[in-house]
Amino acid sequence: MKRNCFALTLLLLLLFSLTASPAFADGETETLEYYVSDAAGLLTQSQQQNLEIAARGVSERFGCGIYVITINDFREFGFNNVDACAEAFYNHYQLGLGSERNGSLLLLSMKDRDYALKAHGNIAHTAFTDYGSRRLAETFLDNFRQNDWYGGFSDYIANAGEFLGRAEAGNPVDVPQQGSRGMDPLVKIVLIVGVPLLIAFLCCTGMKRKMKPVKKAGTAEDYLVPGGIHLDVKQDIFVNRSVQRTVIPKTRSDGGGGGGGTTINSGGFSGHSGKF
Amino acid sequence: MSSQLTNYQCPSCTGPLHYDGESGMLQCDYCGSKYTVQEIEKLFQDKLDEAEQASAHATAAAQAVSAADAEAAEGCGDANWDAEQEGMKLYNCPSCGAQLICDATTAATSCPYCGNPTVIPGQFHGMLKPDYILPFRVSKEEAVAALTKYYRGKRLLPRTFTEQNHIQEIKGMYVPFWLFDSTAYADMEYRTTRVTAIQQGDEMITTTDNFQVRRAGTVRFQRIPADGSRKMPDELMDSIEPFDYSDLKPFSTAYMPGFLADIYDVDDRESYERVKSRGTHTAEQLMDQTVSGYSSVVQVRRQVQMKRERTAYALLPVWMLSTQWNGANFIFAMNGQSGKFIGDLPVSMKRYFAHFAGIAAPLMALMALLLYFL
Repeated sequence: MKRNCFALTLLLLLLFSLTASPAFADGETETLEYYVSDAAGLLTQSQQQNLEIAARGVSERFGCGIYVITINDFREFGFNNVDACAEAFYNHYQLGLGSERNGSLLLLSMKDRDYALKAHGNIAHTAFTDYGSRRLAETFLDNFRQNDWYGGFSDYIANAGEFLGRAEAGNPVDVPQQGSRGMDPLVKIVLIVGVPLLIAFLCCTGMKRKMKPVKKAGTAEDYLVPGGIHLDVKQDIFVNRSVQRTVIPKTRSDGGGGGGGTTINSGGFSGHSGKF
Repeated sequence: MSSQLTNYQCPSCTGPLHYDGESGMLQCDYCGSKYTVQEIEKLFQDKLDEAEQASAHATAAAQAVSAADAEAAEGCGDANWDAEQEGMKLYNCPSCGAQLICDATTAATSCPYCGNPTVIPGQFHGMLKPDYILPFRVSKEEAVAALTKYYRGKRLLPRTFTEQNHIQEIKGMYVPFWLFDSTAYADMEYRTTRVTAIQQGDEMITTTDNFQVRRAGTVRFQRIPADGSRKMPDELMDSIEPFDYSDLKPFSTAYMPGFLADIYDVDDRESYERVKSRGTHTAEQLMDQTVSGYSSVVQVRRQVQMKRERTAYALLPVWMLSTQWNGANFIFAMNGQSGKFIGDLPVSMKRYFAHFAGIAAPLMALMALLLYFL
């Protein structure tokens, strides 16, 4: 029975590849019953079943679908980039759980070894921040680079569950805070040892100076005649002007910079894409 | 033969008089009678004149003896001991007749035998006569109390210093000071910049305007003091400044009984070098302060000339205290008018490191805690 279902899914994907653009344009939707759809044929049946069980478990536990779809080439579906293809798949197959359609989709396009990792819905956006999304990708990309598809997908599902768990606990995987944890150990040593030593030295030097207050007078401001300062010449002559133009470096906005959180596009998706 | 010294004695009981800074009057040590400076000046004018004349005779006689001694020494190849040749002077106390050996610069002292305050008016004739005197206002008791107070709050002071040290000597002295009126003529040149930065789109536009700035003018000073005594450390005398000159009085020896006094042994020309340097620095600073509103200022030329205008010679009141600890002498000075007290103190390295550790250790713990929680 299951075998038939997988076959049906593949068929649907193939059909979608043939009719993608018109279907997309018409706003038609279909439902995909499986969390793992391997149209590219990377997995054995048992692997697919194992992954399906794992993905379903995580999805139901957190109310956020964890999906895997593999295809041969996203261009076959009429898209110019893998991001657009992943978002179209997500919408076309009505992926996601709950009214917000919470979910995360990992789409692999095998021709040029492209991947897209997309999240949708509040639960997913909270769990898969820009920074978290990249961290999650790191957990499976090393497997994919060695053509270890099953290992990569397993890591993806397991880690997605962990990320969702952390988000549920109020501690989503995000850019490390600018606290001491990410601080260079040398800086820590300077702060813990160096700064107190410097402060102590300055205080003690001040105390020591108080013990030796006798010194020759260097100035005579106490003996100025009131109104006895006369300025006969006060010239401020402009000589020249120099102008320097400097381009302001742009701050990074790809999630790898200093800021945390999740960037959501107009389609309601967050995430990123790349190659493996 | 009349004496070169004058003892100010009480007209009522002939007891010794001393100047009391608090009341501004001369007071008898025995019967407690008080007299104004003017009354005493009037009563003792004849004695002072006599002492001055005696001093002049003694100087002439000393010069003659000195010449004769020099001849004799040439003949026998050996020099006789002579107090005056060693920079000392011999006087007879008019009260008890004892011989007093004083520095050549001593102008007021007290007899070590009978304790009577003694003034040597002959030291103040001609060019050596001060223009002004600033009377003492702070008493000896206040000076002693100030020393104890001075030790307070000095965390690095060795504990044994306060416990073991005792005042070896305390003396109220009229120290000779030169007071210089001067004008500084300053001509300064600077290179300055004014930098403004504005953001336009993706660009930061930094505009730097360069200026050539010149300031020239005069700065007038009045009565910059410089002590004229080699015995007094310059830095100690500088540190007790300032004196309030509004209390300056025309010179009179009647303010001296009970105190020591020296005449100058550093002349005005030598002392002016220090004053010149102080005035020059102040004029430079004042000119620098007029160059404002710039992002950076670099002085490229400076020319300051000090012109000496008027010089006054005054005796200013100073309490000198000395203490001994661990075989070393510690000298303190107090402004006899304002009560400003100053002196260097020893530093206990044990206390220094204890304080160092006491500050550093809790701070280290605090920083470690902060970094742990952040």
